[in-house]
Amino acid sequence: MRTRLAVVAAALLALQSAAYANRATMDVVADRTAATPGGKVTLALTFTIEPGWHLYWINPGETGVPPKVKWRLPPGVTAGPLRFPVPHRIEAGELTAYGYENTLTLLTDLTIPADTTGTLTIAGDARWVVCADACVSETQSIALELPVGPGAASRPEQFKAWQLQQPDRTAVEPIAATLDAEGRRGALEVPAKPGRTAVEFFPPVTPFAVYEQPQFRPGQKVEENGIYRLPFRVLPGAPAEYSAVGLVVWRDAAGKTIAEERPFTFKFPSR
Amino acid sequence: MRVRTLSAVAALALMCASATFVRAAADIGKPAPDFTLTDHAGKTVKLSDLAGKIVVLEWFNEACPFVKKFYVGNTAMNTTAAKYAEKGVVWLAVNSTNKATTESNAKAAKEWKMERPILDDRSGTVGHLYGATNTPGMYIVDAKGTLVYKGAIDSNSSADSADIAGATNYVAVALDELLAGKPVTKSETKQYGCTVKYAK
Repeated sequence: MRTRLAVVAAALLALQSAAYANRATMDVVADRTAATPGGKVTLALTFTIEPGWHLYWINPGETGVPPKVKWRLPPGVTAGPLRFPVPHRIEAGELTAYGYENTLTLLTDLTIPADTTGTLTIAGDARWVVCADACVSETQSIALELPVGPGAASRPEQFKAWQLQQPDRTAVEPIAATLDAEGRRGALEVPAKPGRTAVEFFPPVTPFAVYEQPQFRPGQKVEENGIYRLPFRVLPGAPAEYSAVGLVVWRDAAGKTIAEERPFTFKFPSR
Repeated sequence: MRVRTLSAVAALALMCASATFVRAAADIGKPAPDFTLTDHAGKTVKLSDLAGKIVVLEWFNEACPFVKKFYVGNTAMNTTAAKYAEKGVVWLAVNSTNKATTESNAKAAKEWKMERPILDDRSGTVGHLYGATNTPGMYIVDAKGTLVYKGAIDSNSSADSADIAGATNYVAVALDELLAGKPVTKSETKQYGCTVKYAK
C-alpha cells in the first residue's frame, strides 16, 4: 500500500515537473578538483534563466526575494554567505526590482576542516522565486561529491570571469545614515570620490526605511559638499541600530565602471 | 541644448514625483478610501456599510507564490482570518489581478476554503486608490473608518511556508492592539511579494 502510494506520488511529481519545467535551472561546480584539509573550496551556483524571466539580488527591491540555499554539509564543513554579483534594475510592472536576467552566478566558500578524510558529499536545497509578469517558486537539490586530497584548480578561467561580476568588497568602512532628531526622515550620505561619478545606487535591505525612488535613477547630481544624498522616510518601529550592505556604482574618468559594496549603518536617536 | 536636457529631466522628475504621490494615496490616520466591489459569489460589498467594524483588506492573487505561502500546505491566512472573525473583524480579500474573473476567484475560494469574500477589482481602481503594490499586501480600517495599518502580512519576506512560524504577524499584532482599544504601534511596514498584476 505504502509502495503504491509512493509510486503514485512519484508519477504525480513527474507529471508536475513535465507540465511546469523550471524557469530557472541551477548548475553547481567547484573551483578545485579535490578538497584540501584545512583549505577552502569555492562553489559557483550558476542559474540559467528563461528569457524574459528574472531572479533577485540580496535586496530584491519592491518585489521578489533572493535565492537561498539550505546546506546539508559533512561535520565540520561550513559554507560562507552567498556572494551576489552586481545586479541591474528591472522594471516590474509599476515597481522596481534589482536582479538578474538570462544568467546568474552566486559564489560561496566552503571551509574544510584540517582532519577531513575520504570523500565529502556537499548537499543542499536551493529555493528561489523567478518572475516575469507572473512569479513561480522553484526548488532544486544540490549534490556534489568532492574527494579529499591536494587536488588542482578547476575551471580557473571561468571562476575568474565569475569573480569579475562581483562587486569590489575591499572598502569596508561603513557609510553612516544621517537622521533627523525624531528619527522620522533620514538620508544615506555617500561621499563623492575624486575622479569618479556615481552612476547607480542599489540600496541596502532596510525593512524600516522607504527610499524615494527617483533618487536612485542614474545621472543624479552631486548634492552639497560633494555628497550624494539618498533620502528616505522611516517607518514606525525602527531598530536602535542596523547595518546592511548596499552598492554604489562609479564611473571613472576612463569610462570604467566600478561597483563597490559598502556597509551602511543606521543609528536612531533614542525615543 | 543643455537647457532643453535639464527641462526634460525636470519634467521627468515631476512625473516621478506625481507617481509617488498617487502610490501613497491611502494615508495612515486618514479616512480609508470608500469603495464598492462585487465578490466571487456576486454579492456587493461597500466599505462604508461596514462602519462600526474593523475591516482587514488582503490583496490577493492565487497564482502568486508569496500568497500561496499562506494557503498551500497550511492554513495560516484562513486561521488568522477565522480567529479575528470570531472577534467581529471583517476580512476581505481583494483581487486586482487584471486577468482575474468571478470564476477564478470562486475557484480559489473553494480550493483554499476561504470563508470570506474575494472582491473583484480587476480594473485595479481600488488597488490604485489604496496604493497596493504587492500580493499579499495588507490594510486595516478601524471601526471609525480610519486607515490604521498598511504593509506586509508579516516580518519575513520569503515565499516559503516554513518561515511563517518564526515571523511576526504584523496584522495580528495590530488587530490585538485595536481590539484592546490601543493605537496601532507599527502602523506601516513595507509590503512584500509579487507585484500586483494591474491592467496596463
